Amino acid sequence: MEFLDYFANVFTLYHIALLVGGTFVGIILGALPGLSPTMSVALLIPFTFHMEPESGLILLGAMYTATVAGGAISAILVNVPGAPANIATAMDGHKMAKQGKSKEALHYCFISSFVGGIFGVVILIFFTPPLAELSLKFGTTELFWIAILGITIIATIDSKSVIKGLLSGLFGLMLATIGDNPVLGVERFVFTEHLTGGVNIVVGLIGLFAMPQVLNLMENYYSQKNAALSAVGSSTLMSSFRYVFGRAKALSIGSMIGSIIGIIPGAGGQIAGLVSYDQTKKFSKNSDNYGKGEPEGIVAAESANNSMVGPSLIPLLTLSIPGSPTAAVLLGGLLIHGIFPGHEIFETNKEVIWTFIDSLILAQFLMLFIGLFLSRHSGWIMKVPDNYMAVGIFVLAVFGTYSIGNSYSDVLIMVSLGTIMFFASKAGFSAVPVVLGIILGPIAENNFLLGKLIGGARFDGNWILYFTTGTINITLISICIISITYGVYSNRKSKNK
Amino acid sequence: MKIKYITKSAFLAIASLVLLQVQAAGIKYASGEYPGGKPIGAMVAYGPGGATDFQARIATLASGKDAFIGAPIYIINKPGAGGRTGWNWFASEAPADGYMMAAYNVPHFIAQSIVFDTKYNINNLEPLGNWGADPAVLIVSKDSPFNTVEELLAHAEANPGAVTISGAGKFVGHHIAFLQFAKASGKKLTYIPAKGGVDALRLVKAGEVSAGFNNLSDSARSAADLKILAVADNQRHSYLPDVRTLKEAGVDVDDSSVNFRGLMVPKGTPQNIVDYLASKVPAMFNDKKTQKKMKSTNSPSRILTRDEVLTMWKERQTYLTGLLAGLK
Amino acid sequence: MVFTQIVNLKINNMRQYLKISTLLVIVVALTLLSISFEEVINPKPWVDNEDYLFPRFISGGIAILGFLLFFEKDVLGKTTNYKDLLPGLGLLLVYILTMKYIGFYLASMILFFAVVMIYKKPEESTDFWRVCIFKLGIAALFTLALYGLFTEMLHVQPPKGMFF
Repeated sequence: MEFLDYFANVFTLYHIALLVGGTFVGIILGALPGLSPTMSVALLIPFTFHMEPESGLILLGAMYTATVAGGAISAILVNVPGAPANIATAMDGHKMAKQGKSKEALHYCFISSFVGGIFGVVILIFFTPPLAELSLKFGTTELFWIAILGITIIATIDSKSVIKGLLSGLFGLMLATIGDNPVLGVERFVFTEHLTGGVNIVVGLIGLFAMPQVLNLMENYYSQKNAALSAVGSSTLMSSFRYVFGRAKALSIGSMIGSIIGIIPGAGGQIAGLVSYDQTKKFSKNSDNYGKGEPEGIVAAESANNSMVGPSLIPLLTLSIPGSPTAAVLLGGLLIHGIFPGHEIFETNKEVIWTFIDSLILAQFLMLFIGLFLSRHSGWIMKVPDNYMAVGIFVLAVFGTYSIGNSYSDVLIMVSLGTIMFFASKAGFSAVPVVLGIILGPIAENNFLLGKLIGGARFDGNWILYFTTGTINITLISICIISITYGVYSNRKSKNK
Repeated sequence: MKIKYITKSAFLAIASLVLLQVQAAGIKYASGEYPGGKPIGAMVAYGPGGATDFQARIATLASGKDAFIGAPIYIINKPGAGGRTGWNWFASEAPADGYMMAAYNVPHFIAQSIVFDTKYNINNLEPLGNWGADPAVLIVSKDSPFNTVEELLAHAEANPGAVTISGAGKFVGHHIAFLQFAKASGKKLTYIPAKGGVDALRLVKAGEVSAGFNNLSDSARSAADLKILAVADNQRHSYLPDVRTLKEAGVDVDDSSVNFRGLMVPKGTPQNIVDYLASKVPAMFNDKKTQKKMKSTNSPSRILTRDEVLTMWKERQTYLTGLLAGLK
Repeated sequence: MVFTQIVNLKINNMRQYLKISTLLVIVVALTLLSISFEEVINPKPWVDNEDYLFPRFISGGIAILGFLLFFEKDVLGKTTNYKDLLPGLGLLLVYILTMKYIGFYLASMILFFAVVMIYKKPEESTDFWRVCIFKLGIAALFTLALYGLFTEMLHVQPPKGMFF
């Protein structure tokens, strides 16, 4: 119960001000289409440079929590997820907004983010030592199987036709092979110099989601009826709370999966939302409604991507290995202040670290209050005319893309991908499997090649053994097989209907 | 109707453009002598939060003081392709007016300019000064059966190819250190190019690989999970006074893999500006507060002047061309 | 005149359109597949056979799925309303290409203004100059807000042109 001793440090006027400010700005930045949590935290690092270590970390922690939740706002209101974590939220959330229930959708989103977030921080407080051990057990081959597990959901997620789903997924995997590969030390498919850096995940995300949405708004400008969109619905806070807590199954699956994915180094909280969405859908009675505006989908996705935050700090703090891209940026924030992650961090920098973790709890509450407050005013965004909305999203998308790497090439890649995606979506292709492909491709390929090298050296050439031995490997392979079998089975079933 | 709107809007746009140009021209010629207090950019070819990024931020802290450059330095990150995206941009598109510098990483950029088709090489870049040097160290996990370099090499002798050594990708300092180590020891070793230094360190900590080459600064930080066997440098390091150099361990490896970091400007920058910066930059790195901050963040500092860096670049270029040619 | 003709040209046969696109996808996939074998025929230094292992499987997979899609019958796509889409898409592309030269903020303001001027519902006021000034104001405010938030507060450097 050591963590209770340091709550007093959080409750100073200065720290509370930082928390409130960080959360508010974080939600706004997260909600701007084109700005990802990783970007927002990276932007803030120079500011923390001159602060005391505690204050700097409190600000960064509040920002991390708030941007992940804020990304859901743009996912729901304008169908542009702020981060890969929010893709699953967009699938049902935006449909709800279109049905005139945007306020309700946002309520569900913030309440389940809050539950997931608290769950994640509790895991961080009480289970850090054993989970740090576990996270080291996820090595090369385990990460390969996790990527394959992610790829097994490509065919069935958000596509009506299995062939089109697979084709989009492969397109994403192909995009991921473009450019430099540090493991191989070669450049592949660099037809113009703009492709040297490859397709960044967030650049791909912005292109595949924001750009088609902009073009849609323009194309349908004269035919779209705005009436349903500007309504926000009449749901009350009480009924929203009751609904979310009534979905115990979705909440617990989401929080559990989010936490597990959070502690796996390198797998990235990027896929937490999608994996948990897919699992909840498989176990749900209303699985047919998923993708059509089913609130349960929001609950599953949002509880997962916020519960990922706490556990992703476990390998970061104890092993100096970040569990998500944003955690990787946080590592820099720690090092700048001379705080060196390691097993002894809870001894050497006790006060700073516990104050930081305690502030994360408070940040969840603030995120909930500020989020729910902002939900009431979601109507403002919904009332923006489509022409203003289209150009606004586009300018922000270009800005967000550019600022990831200060690279004009990224802007060109974003716009080209987006235009292709717009026309492909006319033919029934979905952007979700493409993004999954971009995220999972490098994880699968790099870990396969490394595993092959290490396994070859270890088992005298028989590298396959390295991939198929070990408890975690066997478990993961079994889950992959179950996932594929279930996918084929449910596909048959729905065809026979 | 619509056409009329378009022409009218276009007219307005052009009008505002002309107006702004007049204004901008006024600003452009108002400034006098270099740097005139105007902020100077420093491009870092790696992402925010990485070692090069935060060291660059610390090293340039004091630039605003009149005794040094007399203008603040801001950092812009252009990560991608192991640094090539940023350096390609810097060599081909960055303004050569002294208002845009970049951080270099030796031997990375020199090795890349040999192996890949890059737009930069040591001839079109002008160094200003060096702030840090981070040698590669040979590490094993704390549970590893090996306690010395000799034990590791004895195992490699008995099992050719079975000893795996991780590093942060191909053609970076760690890879160079590995190549030198394998060549000098004459053993058959397997290099595991991980995706970045953090990943390479994870492979060692988890015991997936037999050993690894990694940054001294990062390894010294996680000393609790590791055993540090040797330093790939000419002399022992002050952070780890008890750790032998590879030479002391009987493997003839010099300091070619040491990761030097410093600032540079593109070729074509006026000579008087290059001279001005070259005289101020090393002093700026040596600022008391900067050095204190470097120390507290475990960033090994080594300050070199422009002339020393020029010699070092040339030596590396010759050596690496020979070493990497053996690989083809 | 020519412009309107192109815009009004509708591809009536959606199926044909899809088939052509599918063929295009197959051709691209096969090209990539052949590139992945290039170094077997024409070896380059530093490149070994393993480097193209994954791309080979992926592009091969795309080609096979492309053939399957070519013969799949049911799902048809939606038609595209080029008449309303193209002016906007054109503006966006011009914006992207000129941004590098005239700077992000100025280009954004012009784009914002141009888009809201061109996409205009008939029920809006017909007084050109009033609408014009109102929209220009909104465009300026939007750009100013961006500038304040990003350049002033967060110190991000968007593309700078010759102006600012």
